[in-house]
Amino acid sequence: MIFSSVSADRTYQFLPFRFMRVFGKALLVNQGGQFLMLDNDAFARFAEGILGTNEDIYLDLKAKHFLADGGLELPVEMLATKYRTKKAFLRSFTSLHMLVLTIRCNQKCKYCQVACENANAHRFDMQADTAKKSVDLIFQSPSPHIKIEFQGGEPLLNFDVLRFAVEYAKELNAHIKKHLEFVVCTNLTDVNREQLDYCKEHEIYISTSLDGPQSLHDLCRPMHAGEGSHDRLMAGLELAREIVGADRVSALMTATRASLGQFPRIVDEYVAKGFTSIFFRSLNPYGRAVSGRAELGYPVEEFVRSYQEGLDYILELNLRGTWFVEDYAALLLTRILTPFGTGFVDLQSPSGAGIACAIYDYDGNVYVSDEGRMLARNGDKKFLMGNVHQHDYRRVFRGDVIQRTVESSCVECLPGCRDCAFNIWCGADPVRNYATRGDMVVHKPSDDFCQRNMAIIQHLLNKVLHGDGDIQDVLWSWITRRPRAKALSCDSEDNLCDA
Amino acid sequence: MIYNKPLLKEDGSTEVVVDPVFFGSEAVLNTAYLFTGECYIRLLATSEQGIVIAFTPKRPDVTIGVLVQQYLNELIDQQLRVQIRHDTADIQRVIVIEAFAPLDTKEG
Repeated sequence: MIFSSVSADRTYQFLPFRFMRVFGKALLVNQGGQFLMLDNDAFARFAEGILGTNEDIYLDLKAKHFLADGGLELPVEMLATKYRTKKAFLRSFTSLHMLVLTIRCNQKCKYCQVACENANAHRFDMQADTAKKSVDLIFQSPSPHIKIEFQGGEPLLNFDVLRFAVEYAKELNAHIKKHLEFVVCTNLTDVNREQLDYCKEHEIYISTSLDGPQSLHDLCRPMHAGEGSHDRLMAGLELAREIVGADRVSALMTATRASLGQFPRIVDEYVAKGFTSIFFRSLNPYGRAVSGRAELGYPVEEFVRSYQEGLDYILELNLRGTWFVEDYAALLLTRILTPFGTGFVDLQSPSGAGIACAIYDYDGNVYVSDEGRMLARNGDKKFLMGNVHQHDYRRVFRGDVIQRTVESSCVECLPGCRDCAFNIWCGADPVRNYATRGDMVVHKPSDDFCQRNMAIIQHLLNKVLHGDGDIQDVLWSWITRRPRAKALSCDSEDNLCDA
Repeated sequence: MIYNKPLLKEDGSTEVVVDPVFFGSEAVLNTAYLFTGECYIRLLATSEQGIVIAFTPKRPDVTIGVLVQQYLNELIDQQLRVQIRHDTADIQRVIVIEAFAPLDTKEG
């Protein structure tokens, strides 16, 4: 073979790494996620085994564990430690548990992933006995951290069962003593003081939805009767901030075709409404988002263009003194620039579906993820792990469904991912793959998910590698979640700066 | 017949031959996979000529000449990847075992 003849004379040996041609150079990434950019000429000499031991590049490659010229014990131990740190999310097993309190909703969003029922369809409410059995199952998770997230529909429409689940979970936890958190995902359009007082008393975080300025928000998120929801959301938001506290209220946006090219306006709306972060979230291929694709959908390239425009706008905003974070970038930057992994279910290897999160539907069915539940709503129960009334913890969380999902989502061995230099920072979404292609493992060269993440990671790497000191400070402030003046800089904190 | 330049065939496909002295079937196949979004690809192993790869564009806007050149460049990188993976397979295995070993075992 073309390279085999050169290896015999090398004074060094390769340590495992992947590479990719990007920005006219060769990007090398090793098992621990450390990376190095080399000129193509230097990379060729490295690959041929003819780098001189006194060259700066040689020392960089050795220091970052791309080559070894002595014993292997130390570099292997270092790489194993870094790899263990990157995969730390596997240690605790399932920590995020979502309870679907009802699939009734007072809104009728055009991209609704669940195809919600109207507010009077009470047969779609979770009953207290189902909530009790769900919480019993949740507390069998070995994870020391348990987050219970109430979802819908609009979960506040079944507030009595929310109360029951919170109080029962706290009762159990008085003995079990895990780190227990609650979140309620609500559109806030009908929230009242009593509910918010309860959230404050029990330290329940609030996650809501805001798609942007009124015209954009109302376009896709009307109330069930058809009128806009933005004014009602704003009233609920103000009340929630007043009672629960601004730091306990966050929002998510969903980008439809109407949002593309509008990301700076959307950011302005978030800033104006007092938020300090946004997650530019593309449309997911479930429920009404699929049937409404002609009106709502867009090619992945257009989303990426808007994402880049929005990210650059946010960076400018930060440079002008307004600290504001794009959450997806922050998540990826943490993976790229620090030794740590992040527990983002949709972008893990293996996927977080089932092993990091699980969802308990109103009828007690347990799915590997919210998206698995959405598929079931449309008649496909591929990702159903069991039912809280019929099955025990072992059957639900160690059954065939979760095993197949894990086996199909390790990027280290997926076609098209195995050799990708980004794979230590990336992940797989087998549920999405199945929903869009009918197979948990998809054809990568035509995969939107892959194209989007490749483009976004490259855009971020470009900022990391070519951004000036101020840009670096902003990026680090996102990782450390501290406004710029207080953020650690790459230069001053070698323990965090891994690149 | 041995040919070094891409050869346009009557069925609309373009063939190129790669020399197995330089490239293994794993690299050829890995590279082909990356181009299956743009082309239909047929691989033929022939003892005299080497490995014949036939490209048929999926869409009229695909410029096959450019794509074949990209394929040949990418093939070199893919061969290098195969080589690196081969050279580092044992180390890779030890790293993963070490990373997932129970801490008490490591310390003991």
